[in-house]
Amino acid sequence: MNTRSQPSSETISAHVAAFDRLAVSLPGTGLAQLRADALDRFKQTGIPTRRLEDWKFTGLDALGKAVFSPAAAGGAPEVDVARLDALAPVANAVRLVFVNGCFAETLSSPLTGTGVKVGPLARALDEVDPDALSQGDEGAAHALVALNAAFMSDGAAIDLAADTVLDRPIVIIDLSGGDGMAVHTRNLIRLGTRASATVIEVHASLGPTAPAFSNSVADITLAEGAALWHGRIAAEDEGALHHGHASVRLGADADYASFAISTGGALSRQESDVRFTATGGRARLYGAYLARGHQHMDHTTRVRHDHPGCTTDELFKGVMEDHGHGVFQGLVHVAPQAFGTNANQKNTNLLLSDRAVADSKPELEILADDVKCSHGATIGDLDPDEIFYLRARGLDGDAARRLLLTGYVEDVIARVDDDALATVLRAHAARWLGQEVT
Amino acid sequence: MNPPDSIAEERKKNDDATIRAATEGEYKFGFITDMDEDRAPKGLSPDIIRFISAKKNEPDWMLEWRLAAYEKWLGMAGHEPKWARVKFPPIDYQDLYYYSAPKSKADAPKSLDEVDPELLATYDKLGIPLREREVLAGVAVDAVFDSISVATTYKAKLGELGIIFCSMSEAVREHPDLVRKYLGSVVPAADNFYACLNSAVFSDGSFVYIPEGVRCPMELSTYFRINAAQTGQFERTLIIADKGAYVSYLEGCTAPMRDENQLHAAVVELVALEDAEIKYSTVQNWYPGDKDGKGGIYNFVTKRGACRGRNAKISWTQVETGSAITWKYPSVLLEAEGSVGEFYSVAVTNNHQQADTGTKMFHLAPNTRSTIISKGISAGQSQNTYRGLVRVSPKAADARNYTQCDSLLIGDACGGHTTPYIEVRNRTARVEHEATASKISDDQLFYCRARGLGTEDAVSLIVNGFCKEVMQKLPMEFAVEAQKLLGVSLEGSVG
Amino acid sequence: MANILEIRNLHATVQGKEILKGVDLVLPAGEVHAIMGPNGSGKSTLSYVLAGRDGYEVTQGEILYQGRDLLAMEADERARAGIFLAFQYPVEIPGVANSVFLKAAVNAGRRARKQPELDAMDFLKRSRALLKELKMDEKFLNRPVNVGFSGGEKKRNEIFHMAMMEPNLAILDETDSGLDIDALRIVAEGVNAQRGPDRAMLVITHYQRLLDYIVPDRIHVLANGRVVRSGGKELALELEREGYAGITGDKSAA
Repeated sequence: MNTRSQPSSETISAHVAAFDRLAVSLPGTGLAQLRADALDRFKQTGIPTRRLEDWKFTGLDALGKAVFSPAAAGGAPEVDVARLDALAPVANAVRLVFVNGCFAETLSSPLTGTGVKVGPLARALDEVDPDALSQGDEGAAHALVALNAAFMSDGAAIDLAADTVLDRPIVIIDLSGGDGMAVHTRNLIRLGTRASATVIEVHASLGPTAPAFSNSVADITLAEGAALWHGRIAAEDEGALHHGHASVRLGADADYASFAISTGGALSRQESDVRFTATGGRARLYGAYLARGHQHMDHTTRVRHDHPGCTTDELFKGVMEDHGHGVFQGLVHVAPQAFGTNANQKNTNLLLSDRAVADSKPELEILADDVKCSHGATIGDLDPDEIFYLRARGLDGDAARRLLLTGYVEDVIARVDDDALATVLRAHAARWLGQEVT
Repeated sequence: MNPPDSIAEERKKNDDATIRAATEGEYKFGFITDMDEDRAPKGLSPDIIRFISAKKNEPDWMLEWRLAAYEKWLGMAGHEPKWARVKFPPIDYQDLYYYSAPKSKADAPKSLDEVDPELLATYDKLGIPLREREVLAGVAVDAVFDSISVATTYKAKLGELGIIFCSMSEAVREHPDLVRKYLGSVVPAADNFYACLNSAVFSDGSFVYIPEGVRCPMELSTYFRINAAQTGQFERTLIIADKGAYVSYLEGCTAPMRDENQLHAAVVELVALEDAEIKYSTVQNWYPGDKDGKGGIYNFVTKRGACRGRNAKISWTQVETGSAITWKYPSVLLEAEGSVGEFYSVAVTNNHQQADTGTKMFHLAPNTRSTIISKGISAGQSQNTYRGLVRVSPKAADARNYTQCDSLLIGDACGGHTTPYIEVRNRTARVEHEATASKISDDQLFYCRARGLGTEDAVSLIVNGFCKEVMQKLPMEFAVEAQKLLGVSLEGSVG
Repeated sequence: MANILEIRNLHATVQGKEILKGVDLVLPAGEVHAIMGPNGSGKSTLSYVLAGRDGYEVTQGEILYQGRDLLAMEADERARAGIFLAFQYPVEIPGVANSVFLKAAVNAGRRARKQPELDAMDFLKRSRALLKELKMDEKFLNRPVNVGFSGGEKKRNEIFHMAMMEPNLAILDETDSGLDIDALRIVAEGVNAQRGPDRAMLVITHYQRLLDYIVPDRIHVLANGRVVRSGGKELALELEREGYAGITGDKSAA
């Protein structure tokens, strides 16, 4: 037990020291107290351990041992624009690039127009209502969100006024790297009544530097009838650690659709906390995790139906080879008054090697009777009949497997009815599948 | 099994503890002889355990085993399992009685006229024979009970086949080799807080041994179900099916059983050797508390079976309608190639009942298979959780699991929850889990009523249909009563 | 001759919307009446109001069944008192065998009428005879109620239930929909066999087709929540010729 708590306490003191050093330089003068309180909450719990039910399948030992410390503001290293295009191959995007948590102005194309504001958060932070920022006050499971609240340096601020339909996709590129570096970005997305947009977050490594810890939080508020496609891509280099957390609030009849894909890093966890704050909302949560080597990938979703007549549809697909370890946890909570709730959750996993591991915990918590909820999970290898069918049509075993894998992942990407996002997702999936070895 | 040296070590520890307890003067009663003949004082101590063991004329090794468990239990203080979705005030374990002989007849009701009419009405609905009602309601009956003489007859017949079927206390005395070999081999004494407590203080239960190649010709315990009511709060059951043997064992009773003891912590261990099959069926209908949630049994049970030989099979079927709180996960350790585990469950909660129940299937060998069918029905203000684990170890090539969990909610104040854990470490495994939750359908209710069925009959019919896959796994004589039981348990839940 | 059913100035709403706006209808014992009308005219609402479905609120008027206040009775009480609704969309009940369900229903009715309950043997004997008449396989007894039945099988199963339950008032809600011509003939024969001096039937249908086989004593045309025409069986032919618009004077009705 000591071996577990040790790195955590080291981590706590490292962060306290870093906070003392960095606090003055962190943006948002009005947020000093919020940051200090968040750090206090983090100090109480430290880095989550596997003894927490929420972290049962994902240990952050690597994080504890390495004692990542938050990045200090500094000059942006050189970044090749061609690489940015490769990370998010979409024409016509509104692009915001952050390097180790700092806005890279020269690489970015912020947008300010009628009813539209897309720019760096640090500059707008003093005008932000602190309540719009999640601060990790839900308890120990959210300690990393508290840590982000204490150290958040920058990120995208996206504001769309009522009835504003942004037809250009917004691409946020979050690059991190450096020995023992922890990067805490915060994206704030607010869509007014009936507004709609597509936001694609790509998290990647800076380049041939030491791996970093990227801890990114997105706060998303959709007003009545607003619609958002939200893509999240965790594609850091080998050895990196990634924690992404999206906190989503849906107004009446709002439509939140997201796709979270993991292809990179040593360990990644992408969380979605979705809450309906009025009736008639719809949440679509899709995802894919593609793990090889010793990669560990965790997708955790929590959806709270507190109001009547809302719908949730979830599909997450995992492919694990080598020693890859995939985790899916999905909680759907239906409150007593949330009648007419419709929730469907599905998780499927392919294990492609003898050492690959899949853990799945789809969970329903239902306190209302007039509901239709279901979940399903499967774990297995590729269907040998399917492989045989393709081989009988002349494909060799490798090609057959690749084709089936592509189809397996495509099955969930096909649910994305936003072309730009689908293109980016396919590019990242293809990159991973192209390297697939058997 | 403990190797001898560790037993010696445990013994030394226990002796130390005994000395400590005696010298620190924590317990007022110092010596066994000071104790009441029928009931040990409240609280738990090595002396109480010695008292229990002495009352049962147990050999030394059994006492040592209990004391060792007690020592481990002390180390678990405050570590009651907390992960279940159940709420109850903390239990003061020193404020409980751990041994009481059956109540003297003077306290008991003299006839059924003195018994709560509501209880009698329920017996009537369930069609319980008159004689059995008297025993169930605790009426002092002097006549030798029919079923016991029936039991004796059958016992002789079983004996001819080499089948051992007796109380645990008797087995400890008469069949020590078998008991020592298998007791605690599936559920180790320190497995969990409640199992550990049971290991220290277990009252009684059944012991079954089916010899190699023998197929037990009858459902065991059918004729003994009344006795089951008196096995007490810390039941301990051990069933061993030797190579190629088969046995079907029935536990419990459809009649609502009253018991003064609030805490029940039973342990059931099953061992199936090569090609053996054990079918274990339970109907649990302990007192659930009143409509406001007052009283009722806390049923914290550890049940586990081990498939120790190739192609062994263990099948759990349960119908859970009673208890204020049910905490149980009948599990199967699939240790040998080709072994099969099954879990079929119906859990009904009404009023303020809480159930957190499910199973664990551990796939530890190749070609192992498991099936889980769980039907949860919640009504009133009750909370009903399915919690299950399917774990496939790296060695379990070609393991298969299929899980289906359905929740039915009746009324808008109850909860139905599903928490499965699926952990797979072998690529050739195939695991499938499906779950649904919905309310009882208005269309179905109306259709039934438009054919003349009253609301309660309609609910009972629909619920029985919902549970059919599980109910048809029950032995015939149990199934009919269990079907009625579902209806009775849900009375007053609709409209 | 006594009336089985008397409906007077019946107004009913569903989810706050008035669907029936003053229906008057008298159904004497021994007669078969048909109710015809365009989609949305309130035909199914009328059948649900008669059967006592929740959510169908009567705001005005009264219904007398064998002289009793029908609206004071619960749905299951009505069924036990001899009212049978053959559903337009029969409901599936998984896990409950058709025979178990039907035996419970038949005996609930018999108990209420102080008749001796059917035992398993009697029940089986009667069931088999009727299934044969309806050209249904005996396996329908053991299959769960309506689960996996085709549309036509469900409708025949409804008529089988009706025959077993021997109602005084049978309401057939679009029993012809989804039936091919052979099935229609079989169902109609089953229904005709149920006619009797103490019994009455209300046959609700959109098309005249069914009435070639079940010949009604009277036909009522329901439109916009009211009976707009009543007449003999020849009214069906007139409807066939001129359509509902011609009868109701409403061009939008079809």
